[in-house]
Amino acid sequence: MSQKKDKTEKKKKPEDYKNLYTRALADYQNLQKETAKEKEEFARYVKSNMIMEFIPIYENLKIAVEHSEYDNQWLKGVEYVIKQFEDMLANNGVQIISPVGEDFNPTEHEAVEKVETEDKKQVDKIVKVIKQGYKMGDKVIQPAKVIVYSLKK
Amino acid sequence: MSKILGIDLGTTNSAMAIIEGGQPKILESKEGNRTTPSIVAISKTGERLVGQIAKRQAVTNPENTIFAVKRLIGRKFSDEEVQRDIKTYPYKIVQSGEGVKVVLNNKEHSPEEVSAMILGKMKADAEAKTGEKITEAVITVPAYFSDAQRQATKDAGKIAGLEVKRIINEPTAAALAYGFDKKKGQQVAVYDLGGGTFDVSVLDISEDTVEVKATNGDTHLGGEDFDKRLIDYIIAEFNKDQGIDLSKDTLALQRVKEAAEKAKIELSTTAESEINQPFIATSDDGPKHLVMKITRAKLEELVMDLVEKTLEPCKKALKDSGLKTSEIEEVILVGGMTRMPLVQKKVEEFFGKKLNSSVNPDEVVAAGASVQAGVLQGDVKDVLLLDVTPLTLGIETLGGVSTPLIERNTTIPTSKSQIFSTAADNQTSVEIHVLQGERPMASDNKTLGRFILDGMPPAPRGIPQVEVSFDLDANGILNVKAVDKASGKEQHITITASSGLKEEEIEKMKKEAEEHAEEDKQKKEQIEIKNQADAVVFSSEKLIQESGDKMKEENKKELEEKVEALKKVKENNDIEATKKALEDLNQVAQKIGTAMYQSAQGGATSTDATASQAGQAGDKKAEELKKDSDQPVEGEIVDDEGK
Repeated sequence: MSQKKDKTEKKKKPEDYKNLYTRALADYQNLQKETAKEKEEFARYVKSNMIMEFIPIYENLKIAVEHSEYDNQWLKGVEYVIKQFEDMLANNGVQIISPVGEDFNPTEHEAVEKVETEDKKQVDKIVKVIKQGYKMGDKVIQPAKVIVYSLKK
Repeated sequence: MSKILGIDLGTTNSAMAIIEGGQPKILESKEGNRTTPSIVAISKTGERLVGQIAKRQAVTNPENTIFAVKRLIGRKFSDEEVQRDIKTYPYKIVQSGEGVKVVLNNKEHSPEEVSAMILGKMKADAEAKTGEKITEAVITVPAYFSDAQRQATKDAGKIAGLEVKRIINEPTAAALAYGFDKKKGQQVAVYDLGGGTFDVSVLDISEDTVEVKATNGDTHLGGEDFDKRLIDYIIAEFNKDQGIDLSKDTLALQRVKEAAEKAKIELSTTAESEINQPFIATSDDGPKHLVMKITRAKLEELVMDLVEKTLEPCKKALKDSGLKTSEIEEVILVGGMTRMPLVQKKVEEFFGKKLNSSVNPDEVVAAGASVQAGVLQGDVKDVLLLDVTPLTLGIETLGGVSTPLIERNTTIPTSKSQIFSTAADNQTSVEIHVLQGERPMASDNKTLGRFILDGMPPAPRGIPQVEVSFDLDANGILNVKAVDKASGKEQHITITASSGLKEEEIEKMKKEAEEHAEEDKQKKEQIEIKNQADAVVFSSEKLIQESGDKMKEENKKELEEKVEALKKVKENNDIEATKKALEDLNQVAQKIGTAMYQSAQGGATSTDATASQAGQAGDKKAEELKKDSDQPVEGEIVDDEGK
C-alpha cells in the first residue's frame, strides 16, 4: 500500500478536525440522499428513453395506416395494434401532445415552419401538427413539431 | 458559503458545472438538459424566452430571436465579422456609438445584455439544482478574444447578477479539466470542433501559468456543416432513385434530418448504419420509403474535405507558436464533432500523439471552468487527497480460493467485514490467512499475514459464525480481526503498509492477473464446483445415515450410486462431468425428499428437512460469497487441523 503525505499546510487544531469530520459526514449523508433521488430520476429517464425508442415505430405504423388503399378488416387490425401502442403509452404515464388549432406554446411545441396569414385572429395558432409530441408528467420528452400561422407583412 | 459556478458560454450552446466532492459536476438546466442553447427571444406578448424554449419558436419569430450573440459581443460595428452577420442574420443589428446593438421587440439591447439573459437563466437553473444562491462565476472565452470582448463578457455576468471572478480561455479550461495544469514545462494542443466554429490552440504550461502561445481556427466551420453534407446526400440520392425532392415536404425533411443525425452518431461506433423511414412520401404509384444504408466510409467521403480544412489552422498555430509537432506533449479534443473516428484519426495523425478525449467533449470546457472556480474558492486546496488501495485484500477460503474483503481502488480509510464458517464438523479453530492480490487462487497472491482463532465450541460444519473484519486506515495500516460470535473469542493481527507489495510488484501483479484471467476463472470454477460437490456428498451421506430406513430400498440404492459416482468424478477436475454428476444426484435426492414428504403425511420432520436440504445445500454452497450478517456465508475458513 503506497503512502502519500497530506497536502494541508498549517497545523490544524482539534476543533478544525472535528469540523472537517462533521462536514465530511454530512456530505456523505447528503450524497446518500442525493443518490437515492438520482436513482429515482435515472429510472424515470431510462424508462422515457426506452419509450422514445418505440415512438418512431409507432409513428411509422400510423403513417402506414394513413397510406392504406383499402379500408378493410386487415386495416382495422393494424389500427388495433396502434391502439395497443397508445394504451402502452398511457399506462406508462405518457401523454400525447397534439395541439391542432391551439395556440403555439414553445414549452410544448417546436415550430418547424411558418405560414403567413392576413387573419389576425389566426396568428400564432397551429396550422398543422407535423409530428406529435410526448410528455411524461410535467416533463416534455419530445415537443410536438408544428407549423404556425404568422402575420403576413 | 455558496459555490462559484463554472460557465462555458458558447456560440451555439452553453454549459455549466460546479465542483462537488473535488470533482466537476455538470449541472442540468431546468428542462433536464446538460447544455442550453445560447438563444434569446422576446415573444409577441413581451415574454422573454431563453434556451431550448427560445430555439423552438425561432422559426415563427426570426426577427426577435437572437442567436450566436457571442459573435457580436465586444466588437466594433465596423468589424468584418459584424458586417457579415448583418447581411445574413434575420435579426436586426444596429450601430451604437462605435459598438453594436441588436433589436429585440423594437428595443435596442447590447450584446452584453443579451448574453446576460443567457447567463441569468443558467444562474437560475444552477440555483434550482443546487438549492443554493449563486453569486459568483468563472466564465470561459475563446483564446482570441480581445480585451474589449473579455470585458464585455464580464459585464454580461454583472448584469446577470454574477460577480465574474475570472475570465479564462476555453483551451486553458480544457487543460484544467484534464489536470494538465500540473504538467509543468509541457506544451498542450487543444482541438475544438464545435457546432459552428473550429478553434485550435497551443498552450504552454509553466510553473505558475497556462499561457496561450498561439491560436487559430475557422469561425464558420462546425458540426452543422457536417450534418448538412449527410442530409444533402440523402436527399440527392433519394431524388436520383425515386424522382422526389424530400426537402420540399416539411415532415419528410424533418424525418431526414433526424435520421441523418442518428446515423451520424451510430457511424461513430459502427461501420454501417441503416436509414429506415417508411412512407416518407407519396406519389402516383403509391407510397415511397426511404431505406438506405450509409457506411462510415461514405460519410467520411462526404466530409473529408471539411476535416482536412481543420488541419490548415493547426499548421498555422504550430508555426506561430514556434513549435514542432514532436514538441507537443498532449492533445485534447473538445466539441461534439470530435467523437467522429475520422476526425480523431486525422488529428492523431497530424500531431503524432495519442489523443485525450476521456472527458465528455461537449462538457470539458465547463468542467474546466468549474475546476478554476474550485481553485479560487479554495475547495481544491482544502480537500484531503485520499488514497486508494491498489490491490484487493482478502482471505483464503475453502479450496485455496482467495475471497476478497476490500476490493482494489477502494478509497481509504475503510472497513469491511464478512461472516464465515467452518469447513469440517467439530472444527474448533480457524486460520485467517490474509492475502493481497487480484488472482482468484490464494497461492497466486501475496501473503500479508496469518493468525489462528481457536477455542471455538465444537459444532457441525457451516454452523459457527466467525466475523472477519478488515480495517484499513489512511496510512495504509491493515487491522484484521476475527471474532467467533458464539464464544466471543477474538484474535487479530496488524499489518503495516510496508509488508505489502512495492510499486513495481503491484504493476506486475495487475498485469499477471489480466494475462491469467481466463485460466484463473477456470481454476476458480473448478474449485467451486468441487466444494459444491463435497457439500452435497456430505449431506447426502448424512441423509442416508439418518433416514436410510425411511427410504424405499431401490431409491436408497440409487442415491448411494449417485453419491459414489459424484465422489469419483469430482476429483478429476472436470467441471462439466462434475456438474452433471451433481445434477443427477440432486435430482435423485429431491425425488426421495418428495417421496418422504408424501409418506410422512403432513408431519414436517427434521429428516424431511434434511432430504430437501441435501438437494439445495449444493446450490447454496456454490453461491458467490455474500455479505449476510445473519447467515453463515458459504466460504469456509481453511483449517489445517480439519484436514
